[in-house]
Amino acid sequence: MEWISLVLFTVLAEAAVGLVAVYGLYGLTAAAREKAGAYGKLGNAVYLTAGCTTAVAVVISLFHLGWPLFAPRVLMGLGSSALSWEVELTGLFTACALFLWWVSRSRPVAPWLTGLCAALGIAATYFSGTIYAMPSIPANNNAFPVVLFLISALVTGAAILLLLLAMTEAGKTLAPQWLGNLSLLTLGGVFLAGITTLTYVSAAAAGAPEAQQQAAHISGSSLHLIRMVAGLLLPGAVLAWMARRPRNAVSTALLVVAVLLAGEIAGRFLFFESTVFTGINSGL
Amino acid sequence: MPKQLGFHHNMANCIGCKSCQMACKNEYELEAEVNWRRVYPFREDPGTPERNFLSVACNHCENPECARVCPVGAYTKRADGIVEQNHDKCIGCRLCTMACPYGAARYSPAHRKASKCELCKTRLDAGLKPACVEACPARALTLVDLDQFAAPGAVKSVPGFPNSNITNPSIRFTPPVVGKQFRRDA
Repeated sequence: MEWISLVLFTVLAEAAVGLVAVYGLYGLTAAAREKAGAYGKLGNAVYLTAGCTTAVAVVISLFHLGWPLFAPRVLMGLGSSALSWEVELTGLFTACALFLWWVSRSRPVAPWLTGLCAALGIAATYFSGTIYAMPSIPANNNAFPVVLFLISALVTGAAILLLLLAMTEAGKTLAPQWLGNLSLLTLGGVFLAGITTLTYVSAAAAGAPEAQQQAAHISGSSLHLIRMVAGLLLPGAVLAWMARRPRNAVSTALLVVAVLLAGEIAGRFLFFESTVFTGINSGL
Repeated sequence: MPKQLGFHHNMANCIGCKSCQMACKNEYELEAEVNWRRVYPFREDPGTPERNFLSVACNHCENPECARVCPVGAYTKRADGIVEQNHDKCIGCRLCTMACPYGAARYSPAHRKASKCELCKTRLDAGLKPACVEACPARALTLVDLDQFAAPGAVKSVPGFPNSNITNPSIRFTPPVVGKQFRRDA
């Protein structure tokens, strides 16, 4: 259970980042301009969900530390440590999301502020992936951790926006125009996540001996099967059905969010747990 | 004048007695699960009958990964090349234990912090040898200044040791010698 706090922190924070980013992206659509009032009200729910989710994720992350009370010290390591950047940017993203929620209660949020909030979150996710791209972990010493984390943000964020479309009045107003293509976008993200995961495992299997051992550990794990089948294939099938026959139902959207998050948590747990470090004469 | 202290491990002399590992544990009263120095069995060629060993602690790298990733700046490099850790700064994030290619930094569940070999800096400052070097009965482990070190046959890496280009570790090895076998004619 050593990794559980890091798993929950990264997955939840990425979901929140993805939610703001996809919401910001949909601000560029004709429907958002035509129904500006509904788009603004949906933003209220988006910022609150994102801010609260990230705040909870940050609190959970503290349980990974030996001395959580001294966590603010990480803000001093911006010179070289990606972890410091991740924490700082995640904190700024959380503050920004909560500030925009407060602003959106009384007036519409300027698009550039949504863009700024999303950019802070994407930068935090980038640094989050960079942390684990270490020479001491040959399978991860590449762009894959960053790419996997960013795709995870896209998929989970888009799915939560689907849920907000079904749960809020503003969402229901926008759903006729958004539901089909948002389902398609999420489906595309799921497809991309599957391809990237398989590429990551294949690249590791063709790499250094330590990476090969990590690939064998991943592909032989039941968590990998859970992620690929329950976390990607199942939501993929539901999303394909939603894209074909758009139906704004809370139960369907909730199912997609639940299985996607469960799949991401299984995959992330495996990402941490399967790590094979550079071997010192360990027969590699 | 620049200086880079490090270890020279003469694998031809090492008998795998783990005196170095025990001396380190005793000197710093480390818990059961924390070993700053570790002795691994070394099998370059499983077909040969020799038993050889690799004794590894912190390699006080030229480009230490622990110092790069540490978010609280707990790791610094002294003028003599020793990578030291300010234990009071450590918050127990364990990133150094993941980043070190040699597994030098160890996490202590009891102290909830990471720690590692500091090349017995207080012993060195007092004119003593590191505990592991002093304890080695086979004189397989020695403290050297790599800027002046030139032992014939010494190499920067041996099979199984992580790529030394990552951090440029301050350790040199004298590889084991394959023994001559005498067999009675059939």
